[in-house]
Amino acid sequence: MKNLFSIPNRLLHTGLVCLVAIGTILPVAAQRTMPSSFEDDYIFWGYPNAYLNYQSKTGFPLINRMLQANPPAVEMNQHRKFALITLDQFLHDADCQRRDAFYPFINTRMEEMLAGIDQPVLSGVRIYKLYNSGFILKTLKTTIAVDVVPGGSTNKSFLTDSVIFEVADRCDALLITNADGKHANRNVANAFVDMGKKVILPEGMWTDMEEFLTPVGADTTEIVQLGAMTLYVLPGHKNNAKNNIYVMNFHGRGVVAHTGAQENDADWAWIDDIHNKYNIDILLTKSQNINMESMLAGFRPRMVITGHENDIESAVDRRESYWTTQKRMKSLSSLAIPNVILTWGESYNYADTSSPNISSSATKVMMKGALYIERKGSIYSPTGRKLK
Amino acid sequence: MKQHIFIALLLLSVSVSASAQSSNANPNADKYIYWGYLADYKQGQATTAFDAINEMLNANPPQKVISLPRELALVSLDQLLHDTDNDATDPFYTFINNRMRQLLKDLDTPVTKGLRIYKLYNDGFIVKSPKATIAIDLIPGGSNAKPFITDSVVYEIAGRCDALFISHLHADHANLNIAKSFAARGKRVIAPKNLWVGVDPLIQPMEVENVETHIEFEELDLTLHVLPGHQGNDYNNINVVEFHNEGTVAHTGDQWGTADLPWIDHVHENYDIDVLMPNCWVNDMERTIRGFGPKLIITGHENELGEHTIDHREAYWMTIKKMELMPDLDIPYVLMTWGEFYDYQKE
Repeated sequence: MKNLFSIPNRLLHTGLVCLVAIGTILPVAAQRTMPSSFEDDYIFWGYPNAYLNYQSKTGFPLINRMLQANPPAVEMNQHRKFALITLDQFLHDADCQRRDAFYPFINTRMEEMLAGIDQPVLSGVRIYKLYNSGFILKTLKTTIAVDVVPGGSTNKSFLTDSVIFEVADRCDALLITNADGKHANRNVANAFVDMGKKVILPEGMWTDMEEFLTPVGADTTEIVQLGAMTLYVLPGHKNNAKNNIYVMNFHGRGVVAHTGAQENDADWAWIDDIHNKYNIDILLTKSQNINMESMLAGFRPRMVITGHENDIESAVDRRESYWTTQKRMKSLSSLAIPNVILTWGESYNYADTSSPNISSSATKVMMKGALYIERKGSIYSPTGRKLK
Repeated sequence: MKQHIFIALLLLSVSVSASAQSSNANPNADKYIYWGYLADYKQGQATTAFDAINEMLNANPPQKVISLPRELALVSLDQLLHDTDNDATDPFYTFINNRMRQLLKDLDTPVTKGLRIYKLYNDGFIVKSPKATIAIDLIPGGSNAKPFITDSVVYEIAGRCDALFISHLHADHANLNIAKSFAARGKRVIAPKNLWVGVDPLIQPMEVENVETHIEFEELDLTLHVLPGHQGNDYNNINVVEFHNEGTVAHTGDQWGTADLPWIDHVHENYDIDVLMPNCWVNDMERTIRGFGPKLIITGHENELGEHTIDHREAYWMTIKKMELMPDLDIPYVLMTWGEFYDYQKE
């Protein structure tokens, strides 16, 4: 038997060696002659990877401009819809995060968020979307971060350290729903702790740094007072792991719930009934929810904002796209719950005066050449600090 | 023995995954969840994106100054067409055929003045004047077994044209069946030297070599000037079509190489070119344009999905960038994709 296969085996072996050698030599040779720039003639023959790199360098800035010109709204216009669909295409290139333009794109969007986040919120709550399920909720008095993670690898995170620092600097507290790295990150928590900010997270997480954190979330609802906001911690689960569902009452500024990575059939017993206990304005929930309809029926919010789209660390079939969110929400239109789709760095100001949770708005006033906020006879700094 | 076990395991895994694929329909498709169904996901995404691109292009038709929505639509199309997973898929066929049907419908609209220039797949164009409708390098694309543009659509298009001019022999520019369909309808086909010799009296290979040749089409009120271009060593007719009183267009086919550039430098001295239709990757684009001295440029050959790998599927964004490399040219260009048209009128 051995003899029968010896010649073909040898041929196969030799062939394989040759193929490996060719496969090694060719790219090296190509690499050597690759032009330093393609911008003299835009001819990419022989360099498909460089071609796709340039394509993303063209695509991402155009998407950015289109999104800026068409900000988030309940009734999404065609241009915005198209920008998001195009973004899906670029982000579903399996190598998208290795394209030169990816980091500049996400960083530009974060810089834009930081440039606008200091603007006072005169009425209701402004919701910023960060990477994955990360959100920042800002009212006149309070700024809360939920599930903020940098994304990417430890060596090269999508959100830079300076962005995380700036976020932590502007927020009063960080809420973490569950231990999954897509929702929780130690470096982010440390940034908050270093600034003396509260970090609220499920019990049993990061016990080695427990003295700096505030673990909450047993089997019953807990209430935590965070400045002008009351936090209700509901005992959710992702399979068997704890997943705190946070209901944040900003007293006169809206009530917002974040469901983290909620996924547990046993919890439906109480989730189905949440709307009888809480009057939710905005539900922040993951886009890839098989039970989205039940989730919406349980919370009955006045508005839905989805998170977790285009989780780049997941395989492409699990990188939920903006177009699937659009389709999914459209398929649930009978529930008559409006939705707003945000991408990284975007914000939406919720101030629905028909909601009983929105009580009053503030006004900007100029005093001695400086901007202040006046509300119910009190004067606040633009960042919400009460002055008199 | 080990080899037999390995082969058996390989076959088993192939058959298991094949049967899983065929028997396991995505249970969450109605919820738009595609975990484990990447091909379905990408197909759904391509369908959504092609539809959205179509809508965006229709709302933002070709103009000399490209708007942001239109530019994004073309870049979005580039991205879709450079993902080889979308090659030869239903969403692609639907997209291109819908665009061709749209063109077909529009072709019945009479042109009262000037020229209406339609772009087809690859380097195909139709130029319509009040008196004539001329096809250049019309091909169906794809394979014989599954052409991009279906037979019925392509023959309907051919039926609305009065003549077909072909630049050179390559399959991405010349298709014998389409040429025969023109001839069968009594319409002339002007081909390059040595192509389809003796096939049909109406299919006429031009014996142009080193000199310009012209043909009068009196009934169509136009003159065809055939300039002796080359792609490497192959004959490549540069077709200059003079629609009397309406405008003159020049189609360069796959003109490539430097030998012809000295005489191309002087084309503008002999012809008053209104619209130049060069292929988007022509070598020395600026020199070619200056040689023809047109009043408007419309490029062709973007996103050829045939034999080339993606690095040779020239993108629309590349044409934009290439045009930006020639800021002193001061000649406007219009970037079109399949099925679109632009109305040109002499000033």
